Amino acid sequence: MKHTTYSIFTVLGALVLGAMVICPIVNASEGAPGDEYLAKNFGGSSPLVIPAAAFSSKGNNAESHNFVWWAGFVKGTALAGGCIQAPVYLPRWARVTSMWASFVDADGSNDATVTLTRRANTSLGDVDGMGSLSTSGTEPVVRSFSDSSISEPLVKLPDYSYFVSTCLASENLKLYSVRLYYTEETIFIDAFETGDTSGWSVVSP
Amino acid sequence: MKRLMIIVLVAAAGLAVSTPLWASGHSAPMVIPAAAFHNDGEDPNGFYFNQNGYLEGDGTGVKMFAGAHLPQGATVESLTLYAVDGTDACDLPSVTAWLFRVPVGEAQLSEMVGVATDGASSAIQEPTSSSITDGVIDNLFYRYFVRVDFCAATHKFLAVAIDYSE
Repeated sequence: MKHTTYSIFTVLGALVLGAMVICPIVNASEGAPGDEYLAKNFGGSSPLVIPAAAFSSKGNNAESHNFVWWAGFVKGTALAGGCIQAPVYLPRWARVTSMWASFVDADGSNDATVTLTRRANTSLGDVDGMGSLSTSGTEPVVRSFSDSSISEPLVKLPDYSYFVSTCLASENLKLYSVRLYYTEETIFIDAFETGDTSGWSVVSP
Repeated sequence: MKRLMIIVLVAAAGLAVSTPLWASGHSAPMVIPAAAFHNDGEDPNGFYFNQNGYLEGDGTGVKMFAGAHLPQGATVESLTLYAVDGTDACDLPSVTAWLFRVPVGEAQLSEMVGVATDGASSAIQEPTSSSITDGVIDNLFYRYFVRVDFCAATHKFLAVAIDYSE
């Protein structure tokens, strides 16, 4: 019996060790390059950086924004209402913790708001605003704005699709990037421990 | 020694269970939202991205494109389109999606799989196909993209999902 108990603890300890080794540690506030809090995985890791180049036209007013290729930002134009959007590709079962964006807001009359949205792929009315941040003040320099209050943070694929959007009311509003910080703390591939048991059955196969 | 082997084996098992979630920052299925699609340039105002996260037409057929960035060696299992097809009375009666691949060194593209809505309804349709041609992803020699065509304001394109295995 003693041997069995010891073995159980050994197995559990090893499982925890295995999970800890592979789980990326992600920060609660935005870190500087080289920060040890950032996950260091290649090919997609927190933060997900969405550059200005990823944003595209809303469609019915295609000349209302302008991507400045030599500087890497997108700005509004005199044709006000430059609404743009970009896809968000996050791993299944990731948990979004915060959204950050870099802007120049030198517009004394308008601010810009970035919204992170998820929409259900099988229900037209099921749309949730997950997070939102707005610029403020008027300064001709790049500043970062953030939102750490994320609703519906768990990424559920393929049930939902995810995107960010914003409107740039003038050429004095310049978007450089949006960053999404997330964790992947799940151990089981289907994220069983998060309470999602959709992949499980009480019936023996 | 035996205990050490158990620890190593179980730790490896824990690693194996979790690896698909973290190692590459992606996971199947790949859902490409409407927000990822851009026009081919022929009709830059011929569509509208609704703030509720779908694209709709303006009464004339329009072609939209998005890159499909899939892992090297993955096998595409299926393509699913999520769309509302509210009318057949348009130049293009359906919402259609295709997955294409193009050889890096050639200009000849080939269709891997295609799906389309059917009939007119206000409900979301989910046409799917698992009849994939050349389904193994080879990023060294091919590039991949999705094309979606739609037409009317009651054609609402939400997303495509590419399911794959690694």
